[in-house]
Amino acid sequence: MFQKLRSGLLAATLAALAGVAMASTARAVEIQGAGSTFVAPIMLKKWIPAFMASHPNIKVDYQPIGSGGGINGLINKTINFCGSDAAMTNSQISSAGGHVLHLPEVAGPEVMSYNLPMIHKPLVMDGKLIADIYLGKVTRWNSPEIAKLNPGVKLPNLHILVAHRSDGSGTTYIFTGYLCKVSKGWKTQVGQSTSVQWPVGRGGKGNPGVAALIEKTVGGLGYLEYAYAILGHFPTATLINREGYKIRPSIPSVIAAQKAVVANLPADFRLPIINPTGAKAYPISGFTYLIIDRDLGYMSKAKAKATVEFVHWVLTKGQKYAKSMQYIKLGAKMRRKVLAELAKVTWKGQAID
Amino acid sequence: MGVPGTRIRPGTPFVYFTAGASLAVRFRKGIRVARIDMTGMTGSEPVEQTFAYAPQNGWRKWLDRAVYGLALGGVLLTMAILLTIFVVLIHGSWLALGRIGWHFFTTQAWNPVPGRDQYGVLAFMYGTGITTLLALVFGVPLSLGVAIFITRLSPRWLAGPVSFLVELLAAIPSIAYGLWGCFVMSPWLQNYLEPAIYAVLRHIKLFPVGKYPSGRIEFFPANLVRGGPSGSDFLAGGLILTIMVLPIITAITRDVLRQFPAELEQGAYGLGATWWQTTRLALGYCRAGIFGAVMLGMARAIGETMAVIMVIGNTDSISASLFAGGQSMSGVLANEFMEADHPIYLSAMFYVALVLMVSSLLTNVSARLLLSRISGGKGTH
Repeated sequence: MFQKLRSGLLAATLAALAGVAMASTARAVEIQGAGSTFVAPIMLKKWIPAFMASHPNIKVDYQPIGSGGGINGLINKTINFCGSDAAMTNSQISSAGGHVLHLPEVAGPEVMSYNLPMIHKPLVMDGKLIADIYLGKVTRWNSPEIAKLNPGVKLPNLHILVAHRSDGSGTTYIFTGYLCKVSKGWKTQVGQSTSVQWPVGRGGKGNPGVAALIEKTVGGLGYLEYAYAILGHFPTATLINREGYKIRPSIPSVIAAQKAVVANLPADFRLPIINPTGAKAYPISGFTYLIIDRDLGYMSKAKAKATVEFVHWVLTKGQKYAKSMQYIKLGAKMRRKVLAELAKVTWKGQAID
Repeated sequence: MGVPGTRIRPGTPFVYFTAGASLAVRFRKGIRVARIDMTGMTGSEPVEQTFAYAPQNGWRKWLDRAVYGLALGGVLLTMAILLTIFVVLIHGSWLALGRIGWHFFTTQAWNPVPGRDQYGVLAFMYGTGITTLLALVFGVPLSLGVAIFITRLSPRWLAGPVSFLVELLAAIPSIAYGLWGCFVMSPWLQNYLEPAIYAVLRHIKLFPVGKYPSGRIEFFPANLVRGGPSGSDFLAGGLILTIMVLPIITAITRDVLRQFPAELEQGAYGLGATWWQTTRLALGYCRAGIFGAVMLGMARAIGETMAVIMVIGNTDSISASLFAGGQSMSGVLANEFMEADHPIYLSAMFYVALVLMVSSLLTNVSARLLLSRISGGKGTH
């Protein structure tokens, strides 16, 4: 009796296993992405669900393990596509085989947020001032450097509590890149990276950590991702751009910044949108990239096709989801350029249709 | 195992690893009696429990062998895991070991910008050390007080609920402590407690003002509150850890104090001792167990990551000021590992992990050595 039961169970198990195996072959292609946490909200909540709904034969998974982790995944060929806020360095590209494509998917501006409840109009700042504050040269809100840019504003006699990210992040990479552009002192003393040796200030983990540091201290100042600041209703500073205009962080001002850089963008798009020319351009934003190998020969042809299809979809139909998640979509001209770049992808030398 | 001091008598080769393995060895040799003594825990005479064990034929023999295999497998797996971790850490930090070497321990700077690449663990070791120290300075008297209250002072109807509430603190995940610390404790510290401390301590000059010529090391600040209240500092890190070590130390100390023999207690009262004198007697009698409790609390404080990075300020400074920001070893790993994007940076992160691992092992071993001296050298390991 037990014998019978046991063999029955065995048969049932085998049948179930066979069923799973058959289902998974019918299910076809799974592609794996990893990287940027910055892009994770729109990727996981909008792009992947919407794409999989319209492409039932493709399964996309994305692990927000950080841009650095994503780039390592691409170098080791363990993933099909990588999301990164920082472009790969030349040495990273050569260890990944020498030929990768950086495909900007959305832009993300950064804002300077502060906690000064007594001031109701947005404060005005410029790059040199921000750099001097982060270098510890300007330490009080009522110092002449700030007063000069904000005539008529009654600035409080308060210490500036400088907040920065404590975790390595693409946000810091873009922000420190901006400071390098606008301040020689910053460039020689600190430099640009995903995390740097901060001369002053306190670090908070992620956007929430920085926001908490700013919020708890009257006199706090820090940089936040635009989406986070807008959704949390944090006050943001008006920045003076390269041509001397006062610019609010907004979707049009970031698209204007893209337009300004698109003309002389390097062929591989590896350029953050920092301190661009253009009267209406907002000075601090960066692209977040989808990075794939130029030749997808390391994966099966079906996967290569699915990867290209997904990236193409993100760059076209997926763009309409950007606004609701407070990302900035690509400008029309920019998008054409990126799509032309995507068309160069091959699989073992053959074109992918 | 688990509770320090609970042990199988020495005499088998595997006794250092797990009780299960020890039992297994005895099974294998056909030794019929396993003895468990509680000396280390209470300092009392050995409490012996004897299990009769009679090997039989048939399925029980196979069962014995299976248990033996399982226990031995567990031991080997544990050793293999530990070994693998070491191998991976050393492999990962190989580049940094070669390039940075011992300078890792004499450098305070942590500068991961490509091309600048300066890595030193000193600031993080200091951060881990100072927050752990603060947690023990605040936490140990508090925990002992609560344990004494529960076992010796509180009315019976109150002891249960108080115990339960303290133990409940242990069940809160550390990220919840971190968020609470970040959004509730830290602003409160900054606006209320720290200004009060500042008002008093700022006038007390501890050392003549002095500063290391290079960088930001300030071993000799004018006082303990340099920089003024910020709410994100060593003090905040120490306080959040205090709350986290409290339930561990309290629960074990309470259990250990309950082992204080009634005849001794009654004897003490009979000789005219006050309750406090009796309590002191109990504390002395249970010192080994209490020491073990403190060590477990310390282990938690050293390894704690998320809650600390939410409140400690995350800077690489070394300062004797309670109000200075800092960083712990586990904190820098959690913060920067994900984005460590060039080889030497990543390797330096592995190096930090290696230092953390070795230092917690050293702490553990020295704690055990100390424990064996405290408990009078009676069969400890």
